[in-house]
Amino acid sequence: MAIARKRPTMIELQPTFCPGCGHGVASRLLAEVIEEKGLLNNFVMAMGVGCCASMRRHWGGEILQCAHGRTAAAARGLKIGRPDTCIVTYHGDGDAYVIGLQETLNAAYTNSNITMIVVNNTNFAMTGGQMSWTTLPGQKTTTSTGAGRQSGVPIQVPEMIVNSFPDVAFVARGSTYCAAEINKTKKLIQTAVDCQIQNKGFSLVEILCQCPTNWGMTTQQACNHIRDVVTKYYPLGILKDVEGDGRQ
Amino acid sequence: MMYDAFDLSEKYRVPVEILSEGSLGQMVEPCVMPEFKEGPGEFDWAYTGKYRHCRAIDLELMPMYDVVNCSEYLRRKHNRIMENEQRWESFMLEDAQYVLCSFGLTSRVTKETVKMLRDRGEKVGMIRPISLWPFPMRAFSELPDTTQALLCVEGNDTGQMIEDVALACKATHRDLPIYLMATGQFTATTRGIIETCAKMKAGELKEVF
Ligand SMILES: Cc1ncc(C[n+]2csc(CCOP(=O)(O)OP(=O)(O)O)c2C)c(N)n1
Ligand code: SF4
Repeated sequence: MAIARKRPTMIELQPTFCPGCGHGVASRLLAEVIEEKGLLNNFVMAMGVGCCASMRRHWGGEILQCAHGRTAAAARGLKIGRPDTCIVTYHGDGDAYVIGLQETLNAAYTNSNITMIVVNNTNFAMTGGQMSWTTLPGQKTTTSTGAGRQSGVPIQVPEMIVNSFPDVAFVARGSTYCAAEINKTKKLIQTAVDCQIQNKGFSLVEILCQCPTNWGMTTQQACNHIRDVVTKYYPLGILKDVEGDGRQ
Repeated sequence: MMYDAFDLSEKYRVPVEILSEGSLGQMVEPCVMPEFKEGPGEFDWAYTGKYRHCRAIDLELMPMYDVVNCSEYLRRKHNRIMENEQRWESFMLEDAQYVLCSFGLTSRVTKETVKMLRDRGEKVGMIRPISLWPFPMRAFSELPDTTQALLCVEGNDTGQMIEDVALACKATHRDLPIYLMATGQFTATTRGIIETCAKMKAGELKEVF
């Protein structure tokens, strides 16, 4: 059988995400972009705590395992120490938007020249699927029944950043629920990394990912759920591009 | 201590925390800055961005990924720090019957008091722990045989070091009564410490440990 896509160098061993998990696709896209841009020898990933942390068991390349939520701050430190190295954070919404909200906003506020990749699966997946600030109204989690007013209005950090800090370089939202969106998301990651290489400033790509395990769904149901429900609250697309529309 | 903080953190690859005092922000006094030092250059563990193979494969290099050896590795590092990095100042300990333990701003007053009491012929000394962790256990193993009691003089309301002092005595097999003078709302005075010492000697103070 012909191999449709080459396995990226960085994915050295079999990943241990659950079958159907969006993390597998999102992290692979990052690995492809870094390799295609010739950055394999000039790249450090600042890794958050969450399901992404299992990547240290199969990823090559340089990974800095940060304390939970401190990822954006650690990435800024790396960038200060290695201004010519591409520094990308990779973490979940719990890490970047809840425990690490301060670090994320501070990186955006200072327009730090780093790239953040945030996997939004609307829950704290690794610890067993607890409610997060991204949990949608009516969503059942292990700490909320989905009935009544248990959760607040889910936080939209990309929108918050774009509205509060208009000087940031690039902010966008993609998803891994279908092939077309996966291809678009790859372009978003490419643009975000380009912004950093060209010293344009802060870039963030949020990726809506399916978490079949904690959503109690099959992979297909979970993908449909993103398409039909999650994207209604978290619309896909580019929220801010310092180059205007010219690039796309 | 700032230089040490960076050097130690890079030597052992651990975070180092400096616990400072609010009073430092409210006082003025001359100080001599240490000589400017050049950084040590690149470390072999530094992040450079160069590709490394998945470290889960190389447990020698990254013991943190090896659940069994990780504990052993951390214990070894921990013990090495406990062995090498205890810091303290001992003052006039020789033949001391009473030893005052104090840290930070309060320790300046305590030291002054020890000098005053020695001038009066009283056999007192002082231990001033400098490192909070590793706590300077060794300072207490050097207590002279003449020591009868310890008094912790602390600039807080509840006594935050006294438990460590008690543990240090236990670890060095010295069963000494330990008393507390805690002054959180004001800075201890030499007169206050002298009065407390007198009460302690007269048996009017209740021991904490
Ligand atoms: C300081 C700290 N608090 C809490 C935890 C426990 N913890 C581990 S992963 C996690 C949630 C991660 O959620 P998210 O970032 O959304 O990633 P996901 O697992 O969903 O991909 C939490 C709370 C921790 N490791 N450290
Ligand atoms: S728990 Fe969810 S996010 Fe974590 S690996 Fe499994 S499917 Fe993916």
